[in-house]
Amino acid sequence: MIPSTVSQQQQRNLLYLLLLALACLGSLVLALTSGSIEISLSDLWQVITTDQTSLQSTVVHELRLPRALSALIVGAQLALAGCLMQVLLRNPLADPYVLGVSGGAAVGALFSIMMGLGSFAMSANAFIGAMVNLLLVFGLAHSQGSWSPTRLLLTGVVTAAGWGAVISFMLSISQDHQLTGMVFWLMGDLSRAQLPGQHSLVFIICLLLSWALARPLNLMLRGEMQAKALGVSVYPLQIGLYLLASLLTASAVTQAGSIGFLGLVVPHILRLSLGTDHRLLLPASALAGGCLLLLADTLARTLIAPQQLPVGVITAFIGVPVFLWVLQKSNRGLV
Amino acid sequence: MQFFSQRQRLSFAPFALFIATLLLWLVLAVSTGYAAPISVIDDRQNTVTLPQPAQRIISLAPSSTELIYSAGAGDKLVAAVSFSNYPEAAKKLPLVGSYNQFDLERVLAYQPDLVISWYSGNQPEAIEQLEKLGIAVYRTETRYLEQLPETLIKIGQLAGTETVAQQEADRFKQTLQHLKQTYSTQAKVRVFYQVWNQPLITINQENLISQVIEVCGGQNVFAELESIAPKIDVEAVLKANPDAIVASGMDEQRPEWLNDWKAWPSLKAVQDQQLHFIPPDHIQRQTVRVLLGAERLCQQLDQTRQLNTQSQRKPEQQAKPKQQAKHESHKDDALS
Amino acid sequence: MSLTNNGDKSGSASTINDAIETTPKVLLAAQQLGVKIAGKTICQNLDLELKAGEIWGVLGGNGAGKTTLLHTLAGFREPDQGQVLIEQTPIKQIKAKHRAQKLGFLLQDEKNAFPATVLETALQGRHPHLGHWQWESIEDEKIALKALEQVGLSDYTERTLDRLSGGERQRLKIATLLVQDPKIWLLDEPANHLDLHHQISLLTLLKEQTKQQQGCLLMSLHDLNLAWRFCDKLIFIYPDDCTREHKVEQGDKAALLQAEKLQHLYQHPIHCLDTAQGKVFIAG
Repeated sequence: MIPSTVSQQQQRNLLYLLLLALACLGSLVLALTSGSIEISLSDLWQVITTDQTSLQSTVVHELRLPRALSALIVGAQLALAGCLMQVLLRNPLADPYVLGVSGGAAVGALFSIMMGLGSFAMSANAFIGAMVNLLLVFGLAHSQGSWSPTRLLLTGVVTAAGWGAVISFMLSISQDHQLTGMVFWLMGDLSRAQLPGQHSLVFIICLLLSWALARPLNLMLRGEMQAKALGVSVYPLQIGLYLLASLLTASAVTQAGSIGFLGLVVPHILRLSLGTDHRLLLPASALAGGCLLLLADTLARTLIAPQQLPVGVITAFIGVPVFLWVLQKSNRGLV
Repeated sequence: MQFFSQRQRLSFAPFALFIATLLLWLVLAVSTGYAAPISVIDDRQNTVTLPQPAQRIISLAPSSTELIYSAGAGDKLVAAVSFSNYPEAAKKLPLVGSYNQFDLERVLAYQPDLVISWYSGNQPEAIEQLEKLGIAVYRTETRYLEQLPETLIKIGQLAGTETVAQQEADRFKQTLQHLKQTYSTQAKVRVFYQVWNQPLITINQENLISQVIEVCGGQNVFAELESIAPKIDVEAVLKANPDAIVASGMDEQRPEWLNDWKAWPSLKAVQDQQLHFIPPDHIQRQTVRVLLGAERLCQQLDQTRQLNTQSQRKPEQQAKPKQQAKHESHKDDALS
Repeated sequence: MSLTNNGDKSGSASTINDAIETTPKVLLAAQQLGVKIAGKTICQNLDLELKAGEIWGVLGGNGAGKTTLLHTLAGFREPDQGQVLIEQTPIKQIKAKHRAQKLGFLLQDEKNAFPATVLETALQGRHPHLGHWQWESIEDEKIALKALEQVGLSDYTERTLDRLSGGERQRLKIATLLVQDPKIWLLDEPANHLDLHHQISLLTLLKEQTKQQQGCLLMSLHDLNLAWRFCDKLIFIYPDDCTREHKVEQGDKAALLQAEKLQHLYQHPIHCLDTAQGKVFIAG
């Protein structure tokens, strides 16, 4: 037995986070230098450091940078939300969309498309839809005064199914030319991404708040009663978790539609390889999620260019083998 | 005297300079073609302005590509999207993606001065992004057959090929007028147009195809439905009992599922063998080739019309099999 | 903490005995406590005082309400009547974290959604003692390792929970409690899953701990022989259809562990035998 596993672990955690941050930076450079228009590393440096109005500069500043930063933020939000949702529901199969947030957002967005509103109103309505879902599920799961993860999960899953029906209904009565825009909300796509200004603020606040809850979260994994016995105020913590996860998901869905798979798998890959300490897991999930989505999006737009692939396809292509490999190698089990 | 003439010369100098400038300006103007900016209103009522005729055009839909060629601006096309398969020359164009997912960067890389987009096919956000980057965009959207020649002329104006565009537009109008005169006033034929079999999709009156049917003196049995491409069930078709069923399918081949209707011998279209096929590119694309589809459809419906007038002379024969079928189905119910 | 302090407090056996004989402090008290669950009354007007150095046992048949009573005493659920006090302060007014510094609870089985390692789990016992942003120190780790040694899990520190047997998991839970180091110990069937050797060795460890620390301990048990061997005082929760006037009875173990009372308690004949090794209970 090594005398100080704890301090060693802290150093190791720092190293992991540093490596993941470097990976994010690497993916960002890769994303900015790959695409239909050739931009080399030195070109990129010139474009960033000098003030010019060349085609390359336009492509980097107007197209690639907003999209890359959006991918980072959305990926980080989804992975973080997935991680929180899995603890809240104590269910390894939980993902950010399981409680119907994306359904609410999609209905909001589809409604604006059908009404012929502009893209700003669409984002706003998507966010409002997500918030309506948040309050609806919370209110319903809460009404009898007996709040439990199972009750919450059931309420959320059924509400999500309800949204699904509304979406199908809207799709079947919508006009042909509206369908293109509607499919976006169901598939998830970063091509319409803008610079993620206010969304990155949402992300940073949620990350800090959830990080502050990290140690109680570790206790929650052992069950509500156990957490209570060790001095966690379980009920406020659950509400906090629910709000944080929903807010993150709503923000992500508003930017890029519902990109599947990422929020489910990234936290699991990290749990299997780094352990279950949320003080490491939460920031690591955010970094890894951002990195994975950015890489996937870069591949999606360059792999068979000029044809563009749905980013969800690539996240699955990368995520599935990585997850299965980690699952095989890991000596930690999943219950 | 000398003093006088010097004064004259001095006063003449600025005038000469003015004349010279004017001449130079005129020469320049003529040599560059049109000097005044071109401004047209696109199919979505947005104003598109170009400082001079477009030299590098990108088409973002197969139908737009056809329209550009028809307007005589084919040689100015620098890129298009996949499935731009008509005319033959369009197949050789470099691609920027597909109409619903194209590569913005590649569009920029071609440095186009005009993009012809398709309002109901392209992602609106992507088109807005292009405009934000300072590229002129013309949005095509054909709701009426009469709109097509106008669109052709506008594209011709933007590309500086007005003469060709005008000719093509006139030809279109004449052919359409001829078809209308020949067929639209004749006895109505009730038509069910089948876009696809599973799910069973038809079209309502807002669809261009429905207008083509009307030109041919047909009547779309599902014209009144809400959605532009409504999903329906077989029962609705049985109830409507059209005189003819027209389908397009996927490609130049007559779809096999058109024969599935033969399982319903009570249908008048089946009894009269009026199951018609029209290649989808000739009727579903919003281009001048819609006339090809229209001509074919008009002939097909005319055939149906002849059969109708024959059977009207002996109406009792028509009613009989229908009643029989009804009777049989009642028997089946009783047995089960 | 407990382990580093052991040396100071366990100076001699006589100091412990002195502490017991001078009026001991009441650590956990229930006043006029009424507890119901699903319409069934478990106790009414129950007054209870757990004093420093005392070990209590709760006995009763299946479904009698032992766990519910323990949860109420720990403040996990609201009583229907009366109140619970920790060192004179109503438990409702104590923050969850401060309560956990004073009161430790051993739960019956709980499942883990995502298994942590043995050492991580034991370290979680330090949670109530750490500041919000504070990370476990090397001192905390020493405490955890010592506790794991005491329950015989030293070799398993890096194992994940899903690879432990039921008995090993039970020992780990006890180790977490040792790390938490409370004054008041509430244990719900601590002997569960444990083999005979570990039943005796761990209960002995807990008993010593309670006496040395001047804490108090209350545990629910099914084994009368263990109750006789380790408890000072007992609470009996009789079944509903019992004809006795009080549903809940408390007292010294010698007074309660009588054949006639036990028969009422379990609705089953039980024989008490006096042997050279002490009292022995056998079901008839």
